Amino acid sequence: MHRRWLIVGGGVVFLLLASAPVAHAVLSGPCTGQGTFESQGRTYEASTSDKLVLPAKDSVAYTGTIDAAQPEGRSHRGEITLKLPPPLPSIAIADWSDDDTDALSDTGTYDYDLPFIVPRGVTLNLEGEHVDTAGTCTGSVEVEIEGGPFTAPLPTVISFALTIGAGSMAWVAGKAR
Amino acid sequence: MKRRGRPVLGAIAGLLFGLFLGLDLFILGVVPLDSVLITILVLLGLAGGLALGLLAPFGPKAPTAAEADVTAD
Repeated sequence: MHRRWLIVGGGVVFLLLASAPVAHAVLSGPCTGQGTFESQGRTYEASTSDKLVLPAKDSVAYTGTIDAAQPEGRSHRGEITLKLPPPLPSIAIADWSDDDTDALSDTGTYDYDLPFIVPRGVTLNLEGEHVDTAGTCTGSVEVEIEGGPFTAPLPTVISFALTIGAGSMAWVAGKAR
Repeated sequence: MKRRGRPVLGAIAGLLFGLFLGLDLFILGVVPLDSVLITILVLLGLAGGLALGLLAPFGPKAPTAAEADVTAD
Protein backbone atom coordinates (compact mmCIF):
# COMPACT_ATOMS: atom_id res chain seq x y z
CA MET A 1 0.00 0.00 0.00
CA HIS A 2 2.73 2.46 1.00
CA ARG A 3 4.79 1.48 -2.04
CA ARG A 4 1.87 2.37 -4.33
CA TRP A 5 1.63 5.86 -2.81
CA LEU A 6 5.40 6.30 -3.10
CA ILE A 7 5.23 5.43 -6.82
CA VAL A 8 2.28 7.79 -7.40
CA GLY A 9 4.00 10.61 -5.44
CA GLY A 10 7.28 10.06 -7.26
CA GLY A 11 5.48 10.15 -10.60
CA VAL A 12 3.75 13.44 -9.73
CA VAL A 13 7.06 15.04 -8.65
CA PHE A 14 8.75 13.82 -11.84
CA LEU A 15 5.97 15.26 -14.02
CA LEU A 16 6.15 18.61 -12.20
CA LEU A 17 9.92 18.85 -12.64
CA ALA A 18 9.80 17.64 -16.24
CA SER A 19 7.16 20.22 -17.14
CA ALA A 20 9.41 23.14 -16.13
CA PRO A 21 9.37 25.77 -18.90
CA VAL A 22 12.29 26.26 -21.28
CA ALA A 23 14.12 29.55 -21.64
CA HIS A 24 12.58 31.89 -24.21
CA ALA A 25 11.98 35.50 -25.10
CA VAL A 26 8.70 36.86 -26.40
CA LEU A 27 8.11 40.21 -28.09
CA SER A 28 4.82 41.17 -29.70
CA GLY A 29 3.76 44.40 -31.39
CA PRO A 30 5.36 46.88 -33.81
CA CYS A 31 8.44 47.55 -31.65
CA THR A 32 12.12 46.64 -31.65
CA GLY A 33 14.63 47.13 -28.89
CA GLN A 34 18.20 46.39 -27.97
CA GLY A 35 20.58 47.14 -25.14
CA THR A 36 24.35 47.01 -24.73
CA PHE A 37 25.51 46.23 -21.22
CA GLU A 38 28.66 48.23 -20.52
CA SER A 39 30.37 45.80 -18.12
CA GLN A 40 29.80 42.83 -20.42
CA GLY A 41 30.26 44.66 -23.71
CA ARG A 42 27.43 42.58 -25.13
CA THR A 43 24.35 43.68 -27.04
CA TYR A 44 21.04 41.90 -26.59
CA GLU A 45 18.11 42.11 -29.00
CA ALA A 46 14.68 42.12 -27.35
CA SER A 47 13.18 39.86 -30.02
CA THR A 48 15.91 37.25 -30.31
CA SER A 49 17.50 36.92 -26.88
CA ASP A 50 17.02 33.75 -24.91
CA LYS A 51 17.90 33.63 -21.23
CA LEU A 52 20.19 36.51 -20.24
CA VAL A 53 22.77 36.47 -17.46
CA LEU A 54 23.11 40.05 -16.26
CA PRO A 55 25.04 41.93 -13.57
CA ALA A 56 23.17 43.33 -10.57
CA LYS A 57 24.46 46.81 -11.38
CA ASP A 58 25.38 48.23 -14.78
CA SER A 59 24.86 50.90 -17.44
CA VAL A 60 22.83 50.01 -20.52
CA ALA A 61 23.04 51.83 -23.85
CA TYR A 62 19.57 51.24 -25.26
CA THR A 63 17.72 51.82 -28.53
CA GLY A 64 13.98 51.39 -29.00
CA THR A 65 11.86 51.91 -32.11
CA ILE A 66 8.21 51.66 -33.09
CA ASP A 67 6.50 51.51 -36.49
CA ALA A 68 3.70 54.05 -36.87
CA ALA A 69 1.79 55.04 -40.00
CA GLN A 70 0.88 58.41 -38.47
CA PRO A 71 3.64 59.37 -36.05
CA GLU A 72 2.39 62.88 -35.23
CA GLY A 73 0.67 63.74 -31.95
CA ARG A 74 0.86 60.31 -30.35
CA SER A 75 0.85 59.52 -26.68
CA HIS A 76 2.69 56.65 -25.10
CA ARG A 77 3.73 55.10 -21.83
CA GLY A 78 5.73 52.07 -20.87
CA GLU A 79 7.56 50.23 -18.16
CA ILE A 80 10.00 47.41 -17.50
CA THR A 81 9.58 45.31 -14.37
CA LEU A 82 11.44 42.39 -12.88
CA LYS A 83 9.06 39.78 -11.49
CA LEU A 84 10.13 38.20 -8.21
CA PRO A 85 8.68 35.13 -6.51
CA PRO A 86 5.84 35.73 -4.05
CA PRO A 87 5.73 37.22 -1.45
CA LEU A 88 8.47 39.50 -2.83
CA PRO A 89 7.24 42.52 -4.83
CA SER A 90 8.04 43.19 -8.49
CA ILE A 91 10.92 45.58 -9.06
CA ALA A 92 10.30 48.57 -11.36
CA ILE A 93 13.41 48.87 -13.52
CA ALA A 94 12.32 51.77 -15.73
CA ASP A 95 9.22 53.64 -16.85
CA TRP A 96 8.43 56.39 -19.33
CA SER A 97 5.48 58.37 -20.66
CA ASP A 98 4.68 61.28 -22.98
CA ASP A 99 1.30 62.77 -23.86
CA ASP A 100 2.43 64.32 -27.15
CA THR A 101 5.27 62.88 -29.20
CA ASP A 102 6.27 62.44 -32.83
CA ALA A 103 9.34 60.33 -32.11
CA LEU A 104 9.57 56.85 -33.56
CA SER A 105 12.74 55.91 -31.71
CA ASP A 106 14.66 56.68 -28.57
CA THR A 107 18.25 56.09 -27.56
CA GLY A 108 20.12 56.74 -24.36
CA THR A 109 22.01 55.28 -21.45
CA TYR A 110 20.28 53.95 -18.38
CA ASP A 111 21.97 53.06 -15.08
CA TYR A 112 20.39 50.45 -12.85
CA ASP A 113 21.27 48.96 -9.48
CA LEU A 114 19.09 46.07 -8.32
CA PRO A 115 18.13 45.99 -4.63
CA PHE A 116 19.47 43.29 -2.32
CA ILE A 117 16.16 41.39 -2.23
CA VAL A 118 16.60 40.25 -5.83
CA PRO A 119 17.74 36.61 -5.66
CA ARG A 120 20.99 35.84 -7.50
CA GLY A 121 21.69 32.87 -9.74
CA VAL A 122 18.07 31.90 -10.41
CA THR A 123 15.80 32.44 -13.41
CA LEU A 124 13.52 35.48 -13.16
CA ASN A 125 11.14 37.08 -15.65
CA LEU A 126 11.88 40.55 -16.99
CA GLU A 127 8.71 41.98 -18.50
CA GLY A 128 8.13 45.16 -20.46
CA GLU A 129 5.33 46.94 -22.24
CA HIS A 130 4.98 50.01 -24.42
CA VAL A 131 1.43 51.30 -24.88
CA ASP A 132 1.36 53.72 -27.80
CA THR A 133 -1.34 55.28 -29.96
CA ALA A 134 0.31 53.41 -32.84
CA GLY A 135 0.06 50.07 -31.08
CA THR A 136 0.93 48.13 -27.98
CA CYS A 137 4.11 46.11 -27.56
CA THR A 138 4.70 43.59 -24.83
CA GLY A 139 7.74 41.47 -24.18
CA SER A 140 9.29 39.18 -21.66
CA VAL A 141 12.63 37.49 -21.32
CA GLU A 142 14.15 35.19 -18.75
CA VAL A 143 17.08 36.69 -16.89
CA GLU A 144 19.50 35.45 -14.28
CA ILE A 145 21.35 37.90 -12.07
CA GLU A 146 25.04 37.02 -11.74
CA GLY A 147 26.04 35.26 -8.54
CA GLY A 148 24.50 32.60 -6.33
CA PRO A 149 22.26 32.29 -3.27
CA PHE A 150 25.06 33.45 -0.97
CA THR A 151 26.48 36.25 -3.14
CA ALA A 152 24.00 38.61 -1.49
CA PRO A 153 23.14 36.37 1.48
CA LEU A 154 20.54 38.56 3.20
CA PRO A 155 17.47 37.37 1.22
CA THR A 156 18.57 33.75 1.61
CA VAL A 157 19.08 34.12 5.37
CA ILE A 158 15.79 36.01 5.80
CA SER A 159 13.91 33.37 3.81
CA PHE A 160 15.42 30.53 5.86
CA ALA A 161 14.62 32.36 9.11
CA LEU A 162 11.01 32.95 8.04
CA THR A 163 10.66 29.27 7.12
CA ILE A 164 11.94 28.18 10.51
CA GLY A 165 9.70 30.73 12.25
CA ALA A 166 6.58 29.60 10.39
CA GLY A 167 7.48 25.94 11.00
CA SER A 168 7.86 26.64 14.71
CA MET A 169 4.46 28.35 14.79
CA ALA A 170 2.90 25.32 13.08
CA TRP A 171 4.57 23.08 15.65
CA VAL A 172 3.15 25.18 18.50
CA ALA A 173 -0.31 24.84 16.88
CA GLY A 174 0.07 21.09 17.26
CA LYS A 175 0.69 21.29 20.99
CA ALA A 176 -2.07 20.93 23.57
CA ARG A 177 -3.64 24.17 24.80
CA MET B 1 -14.70 15.94 19.53
CA LYS B 2 -13.05 18.50 21.74
CA ARG B 3 -10.38 20.54 19.97
CA ARG B 4 -7.20 20.71 21.94
CA GLY B 5 -4.86 22.26 19.36
CA ARG B 6 -4.96 25.55 17.48
CA PRO B 7 -6.29 24.85 13.98
CA VAL B 8 -6.45 28.50 12.85
CA LEU B 9 -2.89 29.18 13.96
CA GLY B 10 -1.87 25.88 12.38
CA ALA B 11 -3.46 26.75 9.04
CA ILE B 12 -1.88 30.22 8.89
CA ALA B 13 1.53 29.01 10.06
CA GLY B 14 1.40 26.03 7.70
CA LEU B 15 0.50 28.27 4.76
CA LEU B 16 3.42 30.59 5.56
CA PHE B 17 5.72 27.60 6.06
CA GLY B 18 4.82 26.25 2.61
CA LEU B 19 5.23 29.68 1.02
CA PHE B 20 8.66 30.32 2.55
CA LEU B 21 9.80 26.75 1.87
CA GLY B 22 8.91 27.32 -1.78
CA LEU B 23 10.85 30.60 -1.69
CA ASP B 24 13.87 28.78 -0.18
CA LEU B 25 13.77 26.16 -2.93
CA PHE B 26 13.53 28.89 -5.56
CA ILE B 27 16.38 30.96 -4.10
CA LEU B 28 18.57 27.85 -3.97
CA GLY B 29 17.78 27.19 -7.64
CA VAL B 30 15.98 23.88 -6.99
CA VAL B 31 12.69 24.88 -8.65
CA PRO B 32 11.87 27.56 -11.27
CA LEU B 33 9.70 30.58 -10.46
CA ASP B 34 6.59 29.31 -12.25
CA SER B 35 6.83 25.75 -10.98
CA VAL B 36 3.58 24.14 -9.86
CA LEU B 37 5.55 22.65 -6.99
CA ILE B 38 5.58 26.03 -5.21
CA THR B 39 1.77 26.22 -5.31
CA ILE B 40 1.52 22.62 -4.13
CA LEU B 41 3.87 23.34 -1.22
CA VAL B 42 1.67 26.26 -0.12
CA LEU B 43 -1.46 24.09 -0.26
CA LEU B 44 0.27 21.21 1.51
CA GLY B 45 1.49 23.62 4.20
CA LEU B 46 -2.05 24.91 4.69
CA ALA B 47 -3.52 21.41 4.91
CA GLY B 48 -0.68 20.11 7.09
CA GLY B 49 -0.87 23.02 9.54
CA LEU B 50 -4.65 22.69 9.78
CA ALA B 51 -4.37 18.94 10.39
CA LEU B 52 -1.69 19.53 13.00
CA GLY B 53 -3.96 21.94 14.87
CA LEU B 54 -7.02 19.70 14.62
CA LEU B 55 -5.34 16.46 15.60
CA ALA B 56 -3.20 17.87 18.40
CA PRO B 57 -1.77 16.80 20.70
CA PHE B 58 0.21 13.94 19.27
CA GLY B 59 1.85 11.11 21.16
CA PRO B 60 0.52 8.84 23.92
CA LYS B 61 -2.54 10.14 25.74
CA ALA B 62 -1.98 11.46 29.26
CA PRO B 63 -4.16 9.63 31.81
CA THR B 64 -7.38 11.46 32.73
CA ALA B 65 -8.04 12.41 36.36
CA ALA B 66 -10.45 9.47 36.77
CA GLU B 67 -7.95 7.01 35.37
CA ALA B 68 -5.28 8.45 37.64
CA ASP B 69 -7.59 7.93 40.67
CA VAL B 70 -8.24 4.30 39.72
CA THR B 71 -4.53 3.71 39.42
CA ALA B 72 -3.94 5.30 42.85
CA ASP B 73 -6.56 3.01 44.47
